[in-house]
Amino acid sequence: MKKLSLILTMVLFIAGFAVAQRTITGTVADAKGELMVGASVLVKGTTTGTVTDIDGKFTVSVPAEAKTLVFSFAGYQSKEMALGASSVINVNLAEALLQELVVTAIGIQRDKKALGYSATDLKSEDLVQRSETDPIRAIAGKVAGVNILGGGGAPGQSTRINIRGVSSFTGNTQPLFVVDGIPFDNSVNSSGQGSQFSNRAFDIDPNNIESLTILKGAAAAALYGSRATNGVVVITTKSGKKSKKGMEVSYSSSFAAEQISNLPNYQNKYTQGSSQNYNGGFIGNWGAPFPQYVDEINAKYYNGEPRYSKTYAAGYAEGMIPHPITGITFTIPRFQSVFPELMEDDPNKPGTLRAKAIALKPYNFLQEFFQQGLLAENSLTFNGGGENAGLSATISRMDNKGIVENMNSSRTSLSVGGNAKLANGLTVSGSVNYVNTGQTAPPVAPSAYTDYYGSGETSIFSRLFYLPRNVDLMGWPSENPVTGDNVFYRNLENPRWLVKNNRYTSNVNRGFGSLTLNYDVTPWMSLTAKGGINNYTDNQKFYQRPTTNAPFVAGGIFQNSYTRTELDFNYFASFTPKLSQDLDVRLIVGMNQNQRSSISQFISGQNLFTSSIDNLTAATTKFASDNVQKQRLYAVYADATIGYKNFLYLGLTARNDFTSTLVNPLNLAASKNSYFYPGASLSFVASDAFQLPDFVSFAKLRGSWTQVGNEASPYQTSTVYNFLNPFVTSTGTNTNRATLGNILGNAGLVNELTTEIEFGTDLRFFRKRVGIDFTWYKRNSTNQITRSEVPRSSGFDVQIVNAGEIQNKGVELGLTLVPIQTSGGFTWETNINFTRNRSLVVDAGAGGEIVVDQGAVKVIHRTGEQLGQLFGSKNARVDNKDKSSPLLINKTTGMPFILSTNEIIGNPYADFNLGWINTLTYKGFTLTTLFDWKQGGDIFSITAASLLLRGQLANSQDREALRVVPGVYGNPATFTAILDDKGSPIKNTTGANAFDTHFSDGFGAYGAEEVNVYDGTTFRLREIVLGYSLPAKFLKKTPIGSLRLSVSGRNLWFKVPNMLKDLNLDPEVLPYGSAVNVIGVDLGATPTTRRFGINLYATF
Amino acid sequence: MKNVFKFKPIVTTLLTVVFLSGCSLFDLDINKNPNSPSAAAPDLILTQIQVDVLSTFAALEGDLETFNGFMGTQSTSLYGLTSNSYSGTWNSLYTGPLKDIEGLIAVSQTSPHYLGIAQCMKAYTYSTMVDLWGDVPFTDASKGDFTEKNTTPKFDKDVDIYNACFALIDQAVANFAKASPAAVKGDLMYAGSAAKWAKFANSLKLKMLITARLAIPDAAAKIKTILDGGNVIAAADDFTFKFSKDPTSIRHPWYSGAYTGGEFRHTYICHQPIVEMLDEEDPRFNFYFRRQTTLILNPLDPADAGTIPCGRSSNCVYGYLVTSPTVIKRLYTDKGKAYGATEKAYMAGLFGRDRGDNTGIPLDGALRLLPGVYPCGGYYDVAVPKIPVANAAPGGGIFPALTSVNIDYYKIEAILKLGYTGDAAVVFKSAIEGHIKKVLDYGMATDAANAVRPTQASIDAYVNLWLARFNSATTPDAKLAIAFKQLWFSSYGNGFEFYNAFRRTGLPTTIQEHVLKPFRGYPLRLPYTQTELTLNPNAAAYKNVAFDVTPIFWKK
Repeated sequence: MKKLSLILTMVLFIAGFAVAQRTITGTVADAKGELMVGASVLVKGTTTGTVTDIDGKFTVSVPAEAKTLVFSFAGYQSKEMALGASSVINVNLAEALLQELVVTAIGIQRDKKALGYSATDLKSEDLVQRSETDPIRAIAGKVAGVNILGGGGAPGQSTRINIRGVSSFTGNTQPLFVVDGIPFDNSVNSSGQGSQFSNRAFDIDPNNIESLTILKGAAAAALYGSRATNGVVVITTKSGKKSKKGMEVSYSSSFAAEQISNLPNYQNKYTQGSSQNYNGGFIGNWGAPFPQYVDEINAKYYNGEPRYSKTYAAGYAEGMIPHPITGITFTIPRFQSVFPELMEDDPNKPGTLRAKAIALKPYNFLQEFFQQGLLAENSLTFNGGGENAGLSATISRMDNKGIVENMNSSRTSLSVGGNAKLANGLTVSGSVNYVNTGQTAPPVAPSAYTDYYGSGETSIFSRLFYLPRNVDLMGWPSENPVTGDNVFYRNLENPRWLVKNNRYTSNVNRGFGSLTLNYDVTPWMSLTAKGGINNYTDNQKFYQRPTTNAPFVAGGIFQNSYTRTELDFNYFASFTPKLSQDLDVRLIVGMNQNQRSSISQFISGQNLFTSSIDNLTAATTKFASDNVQKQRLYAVYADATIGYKNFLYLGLTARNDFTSTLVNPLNLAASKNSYFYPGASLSFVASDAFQLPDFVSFAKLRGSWTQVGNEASPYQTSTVYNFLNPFVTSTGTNTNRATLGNILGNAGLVNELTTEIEFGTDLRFFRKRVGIDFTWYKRNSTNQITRSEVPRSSGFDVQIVNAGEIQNKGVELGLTLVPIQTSGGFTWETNINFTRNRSLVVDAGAGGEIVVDQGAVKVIHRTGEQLGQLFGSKNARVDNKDKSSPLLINKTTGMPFILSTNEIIGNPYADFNLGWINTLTYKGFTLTTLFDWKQGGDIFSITAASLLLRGQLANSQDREALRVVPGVYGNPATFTAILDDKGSPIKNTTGANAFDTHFSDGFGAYGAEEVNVYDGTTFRLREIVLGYSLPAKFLKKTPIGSLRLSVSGRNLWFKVPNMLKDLNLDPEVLPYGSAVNVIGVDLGATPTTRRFGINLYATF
Repeated sequence: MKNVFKFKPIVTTLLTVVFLSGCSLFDLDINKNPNSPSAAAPDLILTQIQVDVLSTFAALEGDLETFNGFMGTQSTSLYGLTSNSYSGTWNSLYTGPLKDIEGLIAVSQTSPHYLGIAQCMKAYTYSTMVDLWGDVPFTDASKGDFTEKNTTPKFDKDVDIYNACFALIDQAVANFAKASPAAVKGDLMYAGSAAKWAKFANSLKLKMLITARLAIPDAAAKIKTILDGGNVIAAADDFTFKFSKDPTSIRHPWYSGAYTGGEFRHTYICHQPIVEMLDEEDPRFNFYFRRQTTLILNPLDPADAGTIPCGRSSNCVYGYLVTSPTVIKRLYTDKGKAYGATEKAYMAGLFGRDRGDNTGIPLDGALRLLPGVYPCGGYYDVAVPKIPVANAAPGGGIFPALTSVNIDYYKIEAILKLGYTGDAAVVFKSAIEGHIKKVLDYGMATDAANAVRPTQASIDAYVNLWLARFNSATTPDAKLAIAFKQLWFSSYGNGFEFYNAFRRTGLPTTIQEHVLKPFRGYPLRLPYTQTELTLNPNAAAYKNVAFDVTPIFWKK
C-alpha cells in the first residue's frame, strides 16, 4: 500500500507540477476519523491531483481557475469540495453504499444498484452461532417480506417459509431453494405415521453457508422458471464460493441448552372426575375438590353443609384413594399381581388385599416430563488457493437432543469445492457435498383426542397436556416389568411408555454437487455450461411395539424410503459488448434442462409376533407398495441488462418452458405444455444522475413488471384406478380389489401464471446513518392449478382444475438507523423490517369457494375474501351475520347450539409482521437483539379447546355456581329465536354447571369451533447475541488469527396478549408441517423451545 | 494454431453438455401415471363395490339400532344429529361404490351377468339411500369422470329414484336370464350365481314395494305377483355379507369395537331388550350377548356411583339391572326364583343403559355387555365372564342385509295389510323359527368351542309364546305390532328393516321412552351432509330439510 501510494504520489505530482498556481493542503479521513492513506485528490475535470500520504495528508497545487476538488478512495463514496478562500480542506469520506454484489438468477453476480427489484442478502454471520440449527428459522425476522413459521420444538421439525404471501390455493407455496446454482429439493417426506418431519432444507448446515440471498419477487426469479413463482432462496456454500488467496482455517463451535418455552398455568383445586365427583378413571378434571379445599368450599358456597366429603373412595381413609394402577374401583383389577407393592391388606376385610391407599393430591408432572435439551455444533473450514486455483473444504457436525427423552436430531456434512483457471483459459469450478441427517423421536405428531378430532395420530401429545392433575405421571409405573406392556391408569397410551417404546426415525443421505465450465471466447463474449445433481434417500421407520393389552395390541413397523433425484443443466452465452461509453450492455441467452424423479417405497409390517426386535422380520403380515414419479422440463431464456451512464438500468427477461406435467397422456397433440413469460425492470439511481442535497447519500427508484408461469405436479391430467389391499374373506381367501380414485384428473390442464408489479426505492441519508428500503408490490396469480372440492355425489372428493385468481398485495419496509455513533467506537444500529401482505381471493373458481378439508381443520378460499380463512362450526345467533348478536340458547341445556353449516371463523394471516434488530458495538463487543411483533393472525387452538374441555386450566378454578350463558332462547331445529307472546326474544335464564359448560357443548372442544379461535398477536424476543472479538494484539503471539466468543439466546420471551388466559403456549406451531398449506391452527404440536448458548469462532 | 487453442475449450464445453444431458431429457411424454392404471378388470371392481356398500351400511346400522331403541350410541341416542353426523356414509357411498358401479356398468355392457349384478347393487344401494335421505342425486351422480363430466349432480325425487330402481331390477332380471360369455369372478355375495342374483333381484323389489306400499297405488298387485312367483330368497339364499377374520382386513364394526382391545369396547345395549329377552327366555340371548364381569359396583362409593348405569339420571325404568328392584322382581321373585350370589354375579354382567340415557361416559368399557357371537363373530356367553383378550375371539361376523326372514315379514305385512292370501300365523312361525335357526347355526359354527345349542323344547316354548300372543291379537294392526316387536329382536345386526317398518307403520308402540328428553324429534330421515350442502348448488333446496319433520315419500 505504501509503495503504491508513493508511486501514485510521484506520478500525480509530476503531472500537476507544470501548471501549479495555488497550493491546497489538508487531510482525508473516513467517517470515523481514521486517516486514509493513498486517497486520490483530483481537480474536477482534469487529471491534475495527488494522493494522500501515510499520515492521510495531501498537498496539491491547483490551477487558479479550478473550482472543485474530487476526493475518492476505493470502497468509499467520492466527495466533491468547492474551493473557497481557504487553502486547507479536511474531508471525511463515507463508505460506498450498495456496491455489494448480489447473486441473482442462474448464479450471476450483479451490482445491487442495477437491480430493478428487491433482493435481500444475508451473510454467514447473520445466520450462525445463534443457537439455531435450522437455516430457515435463522432467517426469521431478518428480512422484510419473508414469513417464517416453525412447526414446533422437536429437533429438526419442519419450517415453513413464505415470501410475499401465499399465491396458491392448495399447491406448493414454498420458495425454490438453489444451492450453489442447483435446485435443492425442500420436500417434506411423510406418510403420516406419528412424528415430526423435517423439510429437507434442514440438510443445509448454516455453518456452511457463505451467503444467502432471497429473491422475493417474480422479477428477481423469472429466470429460474416455473418454480420461482414463490420466490427463490439462493444459497452459496463456503465450498461453492470462489476461494480466496492464501490459507485460512476457521473453527466454529456452539453449545446450547434448550428447554420448553412455556407451560400452561394449571388449576390444582379440583380432582379428576366429572360433575364435581372424583373418578380415578376419567381424563377430565371436573371432579370433587382436593381434600385441602373441601372445608373451604363447603363453607364458602354451601353454608358449611357437607356438599363435598374428604372421603373419595368407600373404605379408604379421608383424603386417600386406591392406587389407580391397581385399583379396582372403576373397572376390573388390572395390575394387581404385577405390582404387589401397590397393594396392601384391606383393613375392612382382613386377610384380603386391596389397592394401596395413596393421598389424593395434585402433581406438577409436566415440569418433570420435559427434560433439558442440548445442542452442539462444530464446524471446521479450510480455505486455500493461489493465483489461478483455490480449494475450500468444510466439515461439520450438529447434535440436538430435544426436550423429550429419545427425541433428537443430528447432521454431519462434508463438502469440498474449488475453482481453477486452466492454461487454455477455461475456468472450471465445482463442489461436492455430502450430508447425513438423522432424526429420532417418539410419536410426537401434533395430536388431539380422536374422539373429537378424527384425524389425531397416536402421539405423546394426544394426552400429555390434558392428564388429570392428580395423576403422578412420573411416579407411577408406566411399564409392566414382566411383559414390557403399557401400564397406565386406564387403557390409554402412557406418554412415558410411548417415549420409551415407540420410535420414529429418519435417516437421510444426501449428495449434491455441481460443475461449471466457463470460457471467455472474446472479451465481450463468454460461454458457460453448468450442471449438477442433487440426490437423497430418506429412510424412515416407525416402530410400534406390540403389547398384550390395549391400545396397541398388534404393533407395527412402517418402513418408508424416499429417493429423490434432480438433474439440472444450464447452458448460456453472455455478451457484454462495449457499444458506447455510456451504454453498458449485458445479454444472456441460454437453455435449461431439468428432471426430477422420485421413488417412494412403503412397507408395513403388522401383527408383530415378538417385541424383541424392531425389525420387519417380526411382522406376521406385510404389505408393500411403491410409487414412482418423474417430471421433466426444458426451457429457453434470455436476459438483457442495459445500463446507461451508471444511473439508469433496464432489465428485460423472457423465458419459454416446455413441461411434461401438462402433457395429457391420452392426447399428446392437444396438450398445452409450452408457455412463455416475459418481464421488464428499471432501476434509476437518482443520486448518481443528479446533484442531490448533501444529506442524500444514495437514492434509487426501481420498478418492474414480470410474469412467471408455473407447471403442475405430475400425473394430474388423468383419473386413475387404485388397487387396494386384498379383501381377506372369512374363509381366508385374498380377493383383489380396485376402485376409481377420488381425484378427478383434468385432461385440459394449462399452466398457472403470476403477474407481478413492483415499485421500490432505496434511500440512504446522512452518510449511512439512515437507510430506507421500501417496496410495494402486487402479484396476481391466475389459472391456479388446484384441487377444487366437488360435491361428493359427483363420485369424487376433488377435481384438478385451473381456477381462480389470488392477489397478493403488500409493502416491505426496511429501515436502518444509526442513532448513535461515537468517536469512541460505540455504535448503535437499529433495523426494522416491516412486512404487510394481503392475500385476496379474487376468484375461487366456479363454485365461488374452495374448501381445504384436513380432517381436524378446514380452511376456505372464498371469492372476495382473504385467502385461507379458517372454516368451521359456529354457534347460532339471532342474526348469524353479526358477531355481536346474542347467542341462541337451548332451553333444555342452557347451552348454545351449532349452526348446520360451517362458516368463516377466523383469518390466520397476520395484519403485519415487524422484526426489530438492534446492534450495539463497542470496541470488540457486539450485542444484537431481535424482537418481533406479529400483529393479528387468528389461531384456532385445539390445545385451548381440550384444556377447557378437560377443566385443567387455572382459569376454570371457580366452578361451584351455575353459569348462565348470555343469550336468548332459540329453537335448535330451526335456528331461530323463540319469541314470547309479545314477539320479543326471551333471555336465557337456564343455568348450567361448569362441567356442562365446557364438556358437553358450549365452550370446550365439543362446542363450536369458533369459540376457540383467538387473536394470535405475538410479541417475541427471538434472538440475543452478545459477542466479543479479541483484539488482534492479544493474538499476535498465537497462531490464532482471530477469535470471537459469544453467548446467544433464542426465543427468550413471548407474549400473546389475546390468547386464552393461562394457556401460555407458543402459537408459533404448524398443524401439519410445512408442506400443507394450512396455518393458524394449534393442533397440539411439540411445544416450542427456548435456548441459551455459548459460541466460539476462531481462525488460524 | 491460435484458433485451435481457442477452439478447444469450446469443444470441451460442448462435449460436457452432450455428455451430461443427453437427448432423453427432451422427451416430455412421460406423464402417464406409472403407479395406477386408467382401467381395471370387472372382477376387481365388483369385489370392491360389494365390500364398500355392505361394510358402509353395516357401519351405519348401529345408529339405526339406536333410533330403534335397541342400542345406545351416545352421540345419537337423543337425536342430536347434525349435518356432519352422516357425512362419512354419504361421501363414501358416492365416491366409492356408486362411482365404481357406474364404472362396472360401463365395462360390462357385453357381460350380462356382471351388468345384472351391477344393476342390482345400484338398485339396492340407491333404494336404501332413499329410505335414509329421501331425495338424493341419482341420474347425474358419480359421473364426474364419465362422458357427462358432471360434478354438480342434481337431486332426483325420492319416488323417481324408486321407480328407476324398479326398472334397474327388471333389467337385471332380464340380464341374469341371458347367457354370459364369461363366468363372474370376484362376487363375494353369490359367487357369480345368476339364479341367486335373480332371487335377490325379486326380493329387493318386494322389499321396496312393501316399504313404499302406501305411496305406490298398485303395490298390492305387484307384491302378489312376486310372492306368487316364489322366486325369492329362501333360507339358503340370504344376501349376507361376511366380514373378514383377518385383523388387517375389514372386520365387523362391532367386532372392531368389542374384541380388539379398544378402551370403550362397544356402545351400550339397551336394557329393555336385555330384560325382555331374559324374561321370555329367548334362545338367542347367549348368542347375542357376552358378559365381561361379575363385579357389582357400590352406589355408596362416589366413583362407582358415577359409573353405575343411571347413576346420574332419575327416571330410568330399568336402571342398574343387578340392583334394580323391578328387574329382580320381574326376572326372579315373580317367577319364584331365588336371587342369590350366583344370580347377582350373572346380572352384574348385564351392564347396559336405559334408552336415551346419554349422561357422560365413565370408564366402564370393561363392564359393558358386549355383542356376542351373533352377528359379529365374538364369543358365546359362557358361565364365567371375563374380558376378552384382544383379537382372540373367532371373528368373521356377518351383515344379514336381506334374508329369508325378511321375506317372511314382508309376506306377513302383505297378508295383514294388503289382502294377500295366506295364514299370517304360519308365516310368523316360520319367521321366528327361521331367525332363531340362523342365529344358532351361525353361533354354533363360529364359536364352536363355547356355544351350546338350546334345546328344541326351549325354542318351541319361545315360539309358542309369541304365536299365542300373535293369535290373541284381534286387529291386523295389533298382529302387525306383535310381528314387528319380534322383528325388533330379530333386527340385531341389521337395523334397517325395523327402522323402515317403524317409520312406515308407527308399530310397535312398546319401545321404552327416552329417559332424558331428546334434543330433537324422531329422525324420519338422516340430515343431509355438510359438504354436499356447501358445494352442490343443486342442494340449495335441501338446506332446511329438518330430519325430524319431513318424512320420506313412502310415509303417508
